[in-house]
Amino acid sequence: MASGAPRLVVGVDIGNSTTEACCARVDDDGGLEYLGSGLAPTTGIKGTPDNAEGVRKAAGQALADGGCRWPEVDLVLTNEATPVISGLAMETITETVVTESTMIGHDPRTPGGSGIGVGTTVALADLADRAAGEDVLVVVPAAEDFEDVAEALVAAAHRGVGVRGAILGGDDAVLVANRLEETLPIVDEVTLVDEVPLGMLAAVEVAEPGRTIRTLSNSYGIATLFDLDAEQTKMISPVARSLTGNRSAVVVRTPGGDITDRRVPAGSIALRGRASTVSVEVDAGADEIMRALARIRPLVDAEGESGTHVGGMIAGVRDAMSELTGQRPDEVAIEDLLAVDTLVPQEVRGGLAKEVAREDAVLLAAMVRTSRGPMEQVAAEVRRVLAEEAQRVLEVEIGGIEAEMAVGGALTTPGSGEPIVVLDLGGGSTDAAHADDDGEVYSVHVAGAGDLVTTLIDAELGLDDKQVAEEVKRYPLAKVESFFHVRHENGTAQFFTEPLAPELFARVVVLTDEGMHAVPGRHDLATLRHTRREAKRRVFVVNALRALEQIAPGGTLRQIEFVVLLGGSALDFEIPDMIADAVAPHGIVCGTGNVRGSLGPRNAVASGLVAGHARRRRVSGAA
Amino acid sequence: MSVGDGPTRPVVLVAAAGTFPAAVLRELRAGLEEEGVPHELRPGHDDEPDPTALAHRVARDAPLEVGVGLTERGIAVHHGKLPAGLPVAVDPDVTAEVARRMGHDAARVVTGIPLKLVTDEDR
Repeated sequence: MASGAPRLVVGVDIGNSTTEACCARVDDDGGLEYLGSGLAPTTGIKGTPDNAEGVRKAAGQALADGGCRWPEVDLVLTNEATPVISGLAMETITETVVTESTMIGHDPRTPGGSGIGVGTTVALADLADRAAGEDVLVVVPAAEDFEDVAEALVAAAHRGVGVRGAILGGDDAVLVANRLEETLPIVDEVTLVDEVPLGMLAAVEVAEPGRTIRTLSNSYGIATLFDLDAEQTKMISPVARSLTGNRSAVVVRTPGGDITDRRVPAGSIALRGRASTVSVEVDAGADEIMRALARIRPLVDAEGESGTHVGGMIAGVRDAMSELTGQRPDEVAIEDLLAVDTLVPQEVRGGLAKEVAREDAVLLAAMVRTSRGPMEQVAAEVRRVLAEEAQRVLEVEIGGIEAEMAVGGALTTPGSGEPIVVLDLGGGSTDAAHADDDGEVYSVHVAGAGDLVTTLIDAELGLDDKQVAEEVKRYPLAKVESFFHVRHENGTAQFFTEPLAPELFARVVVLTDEGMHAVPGRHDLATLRHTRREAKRRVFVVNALRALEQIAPGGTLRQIEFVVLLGGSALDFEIPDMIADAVAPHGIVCGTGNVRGSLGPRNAVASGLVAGHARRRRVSGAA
Repeated sequence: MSVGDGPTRPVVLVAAAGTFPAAVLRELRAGLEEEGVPHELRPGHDDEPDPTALAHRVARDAPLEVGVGLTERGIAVHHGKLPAGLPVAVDPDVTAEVARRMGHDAARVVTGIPLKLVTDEDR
């Protein structure tokens, strides 16, 4: 093409989830005028030929935005998208197992009566056969009518049977309690009421509204009721612990019965550094793993013990990567790991009322970087697709290292300057790039980012729904307090002139762009908010510091002056503030980038690609 | 039970018009009782066959601003501040099961607890 004429250049950044593009006119001496920007979801996995469709869309948008047409395009630049792929796995390392139905520890909304009752479990049908003077707890199937139940209990009491409490299948506890002559503790909504062992000594406790049980959640309380010796008390103590915080509970003294709190062997992980290899047991917890990792860093590869959970997880990451890149699984090297301790609610095995216990678990994020190989295939496919648009063959260049381009784009943020660190808060990894005063760029990638936050939220709240977890992560919460108003998580109220849907009434909701969505489950707003913020802190704040320490000159954060946050998670409503707070003590100016003064944390790499091209043109023009 | 003008104690008002199985009204009241919210029956509304309109009529009189309408055509829960055509819940099935759920939900509007409503699993 004619030298001297300004060239229309398109920069494209293929990210893990988003493809961004910009178009600009670059003249012969490197003068640069940005014309437009575009953004589209990445098609396929980053670094694969499937990306071409997303490139077509994002670049097309950028051209339309800049008032340009495909045939005018002189050059397309794409980033060297070495895919940083992360794998996530969670291993539960404790498990609560109830054998022979020792306890009922769910939390029905409306138990009946109050107090504590001790007696032998008796089926309602057999109550008439019980002798006077005998202390009993009556076990009632769900189908029984509350009036019949109350009548039977009153009649038994009149005969002199010591009715001390009841265990109901249905949601009738208050109804039955209201029809008795004396106050008795009644637990209801016991799903598997038919499996409550009969003829056993048991205790029922119901606390007053707003209180929690005091006796059955205390090991010595249970010991006192059942006359246990020291050895037996030791056995029963996990029961007491698991009932803590409930308003009602049942404990049955089954001779062979037990509740165990066992640790599951999760396997060990071998971390290979340049000089040495360290092996850590996964159930030693996240801190231990991260300490070992810090000792041997930089990580060359990690291996999971074969035949264990962690072995399976790491093999899975390897296989996925090898499928993607055509490399052999044993050529795929894990370059970073992030381990996070977590507590996940799990249904108790052997429970009778869908009881849930919070189990210890370790979440692992592993990061793998591939060779540049497949990028040439991507460029070829982009060339083919864009030729359709332009009606001729376009020049497509894989230009520049992503980190360098990101720095170039970030530096277009007003108020930023060198020495600068760019923190790209992505989906799979958190990437940092540092440019020193001479413009030399270094970069690191650490495992764990937005996807890990979503997984943590999903697991800790027991949602089992990635989409809901994603919404909890992305949007602020509110409590619907009436049909006409909500209370936001910061305490402010908002009135609505149109009534809110009954499905939202009294629910905690996420305020999404499409309106309010109720969060499933019974979590209160404070718990949800705490879980969300802690997940973000444990991933992004921890990783921001980890990445900055690895990249800062001499490992000293004070050597960094500016940190510019980029990437999808830099748009989050609280993550940038959390990171800024964490680095503020080191005298660092930290904030969300504003690429070219108007694009926020978006388009940095695409803009940087074009800026880099303009710079090279200037240099070669001057030569 | 109050029959005259508006009751003075805090209650949910339940208006039952026409004919329906006795068990339906009993379960409706049981739902309210299980949730611990008091209610009163409001007779004398046989002119209103539409459960939603009936529920709204008594909800506007109810000290707790919540009313339940039970007719041959269905059962509805309403709140006095809601537009007449937008009930909290309405179900054309006049069964003991629906009645129990409506009783719970009428009480839960008062106490500010998420409603049972009808979920796909119930259907």
